[in-house]
Amino acid sequence: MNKKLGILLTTSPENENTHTVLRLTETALAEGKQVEIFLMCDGVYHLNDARLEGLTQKGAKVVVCAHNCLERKVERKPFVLWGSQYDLAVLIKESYRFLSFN
Amino acid sequence: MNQVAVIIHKSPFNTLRNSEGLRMAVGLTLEEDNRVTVIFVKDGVYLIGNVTPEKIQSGTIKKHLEALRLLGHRLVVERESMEERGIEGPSVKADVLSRAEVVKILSEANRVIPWQ
Repeated sequence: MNKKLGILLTTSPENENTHTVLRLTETALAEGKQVEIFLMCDGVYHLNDARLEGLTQKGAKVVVCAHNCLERKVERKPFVLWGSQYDLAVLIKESYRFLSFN
Repeated sequence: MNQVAVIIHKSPFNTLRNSEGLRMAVGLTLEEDNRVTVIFVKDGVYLIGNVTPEKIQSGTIKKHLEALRLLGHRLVVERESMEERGIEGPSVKADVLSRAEVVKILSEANRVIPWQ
């Protein structure tokens, strides 16, 4: 059974959503779940947040909307997949639970 | 079929957020199993009124609405929210449903994305 938790994060790092997403992801990974986080809108600023890179080292997958990164001049980072809205469309279909933080 | 409901409930005035939410909704249709319903409630109903994006700094609206409709996905407007704001009818083809009917759509959806 697919046990991937999908998370959409569209708010910038100073929002309380960041803390929630970080803790949820850590807990899910600790329980052996797969976690994929899709960043769009101001959420792409998390590429500059070392805590997110730490999550990828623990096994989380992070995908960004490249269009939003280019709009905000956020540089590409090696720990994320430079993606598109198609990645979100697939994540929504494939994840067994999906949470959005807007 | 994966039923996805996107709820737009914030005003489109002076923000690009709603435009981005609609762009996301169009993007969700790229996965062919996703059946997308965009639901406009509260101040979100102003999006389906006769808004002029360049005057209210709202970004692209109508192009996304028309794309969703042409791709066979659904636009729903809550009747009570329209009446409360004096909006007589949607400027694009959309289903005007009661609050109870909107709740039914949400309860039957596989995924619900409240967009703020």
